[in-house]
Amino acid sequence: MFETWLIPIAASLASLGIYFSLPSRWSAAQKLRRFLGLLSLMPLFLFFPMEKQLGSFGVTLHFYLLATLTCGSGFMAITSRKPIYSALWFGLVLLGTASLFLLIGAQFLAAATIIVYAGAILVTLLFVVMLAQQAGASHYDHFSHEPSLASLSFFFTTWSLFTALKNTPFAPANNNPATHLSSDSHVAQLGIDLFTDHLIAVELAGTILLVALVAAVCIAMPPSNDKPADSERQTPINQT
Amino acid sequence: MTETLLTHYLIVAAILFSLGMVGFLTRRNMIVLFISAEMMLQGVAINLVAFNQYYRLNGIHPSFDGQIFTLMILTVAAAEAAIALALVVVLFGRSGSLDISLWHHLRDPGQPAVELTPSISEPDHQPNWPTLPVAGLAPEENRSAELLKPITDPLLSPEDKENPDA
Amino acid sequence: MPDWLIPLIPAAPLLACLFTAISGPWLLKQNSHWPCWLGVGVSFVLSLGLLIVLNTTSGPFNSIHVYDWLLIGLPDNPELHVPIAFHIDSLTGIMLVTVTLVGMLVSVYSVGYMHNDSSYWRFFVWIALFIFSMTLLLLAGNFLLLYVAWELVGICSYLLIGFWYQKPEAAAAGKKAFLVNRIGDFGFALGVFLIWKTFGTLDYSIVLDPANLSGTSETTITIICLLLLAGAIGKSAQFPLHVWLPDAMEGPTPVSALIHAATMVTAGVYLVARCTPLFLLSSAAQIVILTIGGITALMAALIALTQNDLKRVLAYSTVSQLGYMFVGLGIGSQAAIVAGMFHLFTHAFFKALLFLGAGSVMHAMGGVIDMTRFGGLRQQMKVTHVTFAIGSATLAGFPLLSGFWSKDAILGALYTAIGANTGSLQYGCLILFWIMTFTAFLTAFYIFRAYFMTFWGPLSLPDEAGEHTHESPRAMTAPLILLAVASVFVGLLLGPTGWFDSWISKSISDSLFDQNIASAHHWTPILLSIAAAFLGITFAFFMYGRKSVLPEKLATSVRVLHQISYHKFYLDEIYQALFVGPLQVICWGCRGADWLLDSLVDCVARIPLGLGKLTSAMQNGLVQLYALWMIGVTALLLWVMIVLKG
Repeated sequence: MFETWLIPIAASLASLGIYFSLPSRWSAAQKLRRFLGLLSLMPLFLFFPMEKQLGSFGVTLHFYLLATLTCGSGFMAITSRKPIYSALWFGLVLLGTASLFLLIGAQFLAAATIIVYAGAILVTLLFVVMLAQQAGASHYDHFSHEPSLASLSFFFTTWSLFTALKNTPFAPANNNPATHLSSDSHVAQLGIDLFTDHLIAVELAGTILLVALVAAVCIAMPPSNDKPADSERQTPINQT
Repeated sequence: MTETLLTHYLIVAAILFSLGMVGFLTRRNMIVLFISAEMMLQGVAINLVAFNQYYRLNGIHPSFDGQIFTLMILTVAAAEAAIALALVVVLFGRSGSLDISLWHHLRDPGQPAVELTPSISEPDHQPNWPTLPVAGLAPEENRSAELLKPITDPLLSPEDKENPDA
Repeated sequence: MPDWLIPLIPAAPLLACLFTAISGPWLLKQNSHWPCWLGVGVSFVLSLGLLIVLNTTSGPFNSIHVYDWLLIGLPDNPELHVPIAFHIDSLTGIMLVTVTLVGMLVSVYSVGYMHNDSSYWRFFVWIALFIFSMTLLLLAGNFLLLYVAWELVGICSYLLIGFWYQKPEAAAAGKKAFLVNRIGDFGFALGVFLIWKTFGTLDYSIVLDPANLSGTSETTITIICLLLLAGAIGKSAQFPLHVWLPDAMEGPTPVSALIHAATMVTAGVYLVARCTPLFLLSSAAQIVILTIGGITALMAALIALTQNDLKRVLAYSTVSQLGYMFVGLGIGSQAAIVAGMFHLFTHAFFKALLFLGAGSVMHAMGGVIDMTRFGGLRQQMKVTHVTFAIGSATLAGFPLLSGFWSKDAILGALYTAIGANTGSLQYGCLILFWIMTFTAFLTAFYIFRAYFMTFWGPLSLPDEAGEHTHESPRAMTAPLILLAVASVFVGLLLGPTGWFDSWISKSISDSLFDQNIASAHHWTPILLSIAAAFLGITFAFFMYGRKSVLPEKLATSVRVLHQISYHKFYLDEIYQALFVGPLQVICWGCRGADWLLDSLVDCVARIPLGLGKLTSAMQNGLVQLYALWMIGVTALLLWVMIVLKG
């Protein structure tokens, strides 16, 4: 698959790139930083030997495109100086993730990711950014906490994960040709499994969402400025 | 689904997870912090789905457990997003900014606070934005200048104002 | 008398002390004198009984074993065996009666004197403890128990001198008394060690047996005697170590009367008298005693001439009279030793009387005791006046009063000794005789100076007197009267009749003395002492009894001498420069070393503090950094486990 000695090289290059790309007090020119940052992604391509097919040519091409999109967007999301751009890059990450799900045959999850994550969470995030930070960037966005130590943790983490990946023997595939695009009843099968074997989990998930809704309202509620004339105190129950 | 494809998916997941981790540990903006946490969750989700599809499509273990787990993660992530953003709103209301360094009250008594203000120089000049007179009222110089002041952060350095992030 | 009553003599005051200590502040309060009265009263009655019993029996030593205290070594052949054993003989008996009687009278007096004091109960606790210690000292049957009681008496002295400890002078005086005594006690302790090393035991019956002493070398005996003498010098305030006694007047006046006139300071005299068999074998020690006694007597009398503080005059008078007693003991004949003890006995009464009278004056004058600030108290305080006059006359050696008999006995013995000795010793005794006679003149002069300054002349009262210029209450005047009666009659009854002589001879028997000098009555010393007394009284009358300019003229004409006398021969300053100063320098050096060691230990303590500061830099309140550390270390561990260990 890939050589063992490639891993530390790739990890170190990547962590260097992260270190230089994180917002910091360096007055280095932005372009240089961008270049160094993109340099950090290059070693990741060492992991993708082109000669070994990942299935079919289409799958290979799509996979590499989507992987590059996802990882690149992730990188940009954490190193952007404006939070609004961070949010938008994150949207691209979600898109990439959903596409990867689609590629592998998990259509329902792809849809769910887009609907829930990109449609709900990201939008809420954007709302908060718009309400809180109209200026776009603030002085604290230009600084990070301990980029060196974080890069070092990144270095060790990636090295360990990649080594673990390399050394773990997975159960062998049986090269079934009809595996990438799964059968039509994928969603139906998923539904059956969800509502028979994991019904309680579904119900609990619903309850969690309800509780989260109520809690969010309670937390974010402004303190009430009652005049003494108002006889009833404003409680969440009254409010909802 | 081949084993190589699985490995590659896992590599992408690992990268996403690590990137999210670095972002979480580093950035000072609460929103970006949250985004990094979500990115970590995405990495985990890719991991789970990849394994699930591999084992199911290759007939090793015919169940949807991984994807259902991912669905639950989605749900919890949504709930978490609601709560986290509510908290962010409250914290913003109390401190007036999205900087997480402002909330350092649980520190050791002898420790100095993290440097909150950057030691960059004050911007020398304001950019010359065009101003429009207020419609419907007789134009007065003072009023328009007052009303149309741009909302900028005075602590931004000039170069950052000139070249905002792409 | 049954044997078990004897331990009650020290035990009764001890029980009184403990009871008052426990229940004084909350139960007894203003009645705290009752346990003390009871305890000392029981002691006194038993001592009288003991005296009567001893009068009828004839044996010199009676030993009462109470408890086996120290037994070091094999049980049948111990290296050191010190029981708590009492030793009773006539010397003990008479001193017990003196101590307990004066103790009782002072307890009665203190009820009136300490009446308004806030620590009324504490006073009686210490008084009872003191009586216990003193009786234990007198009853002790071996040197170690004597030493223990010696130290106990010192402690009681410290506690009582510094009774008003909030006053810095009182606290300093207490410390000074204890420390100066300690110097003497150091010598005493060495003496006890040497006794044990020489004789193998500390028992009186063995060490003080002439038969046992004949085998020991004279140098050893001399060294033992000199070391024991060091203790006596400290306790009885003789020449080098007398500096504590005048300062001890900071304590309440009953304390001065009891401890520093009648009882504690006589412990040294008692010690030398008890160890007569030892001292008789060492002529060098006897010469030292004579020298020191003579110097002390003269020097103290010279200082007392110019003091203005009435109590200090009496303090120096005590020192001087103790010098007399030591001279008596140093002469070395039976008559002389008996004379010394007789002087101790009578001195207890009239000095206690004088001190209590001074206390009465101080009480009436509102705490002022400076004689220049008051005068002419004859009419105001009649009882005090009469008793003080009797006491002064006794001290001066007025004929037929007790002081006359006892002082005359010493001078007589000294005179006899002149004739009995030859060569340089004879000249020494002659010089000493003239010194003692001159001191008798000085004694009469200064005590009557004090008397005239206080009670004669025009009435003048200090401002502090206020309402109090009346006679003292009955609790205070009754002991004064009793002591005055004693001063007049005790000498007459016991001296010329020869009762005291035969009494003391029971314990200091004739067999000790190799030459039995017949105590012939010489008229010369008697006439000389009477002359000295009258001369002193007359001089004092002409200078202080009437209004006269002689005192100032005399003071200015011999200004240097007057200054030396007034400043106590500058001894305090000399000691400060010679001993206290260098010690303080050493102290300062030690404090510096202590500071250095403290700093070193602090440095050791600062190491974990510093290390902690390093690691606590992590805790700056930002959760992200906490997370960073956690995740970072976890990543490292993960890396170690996965990559390194495979």
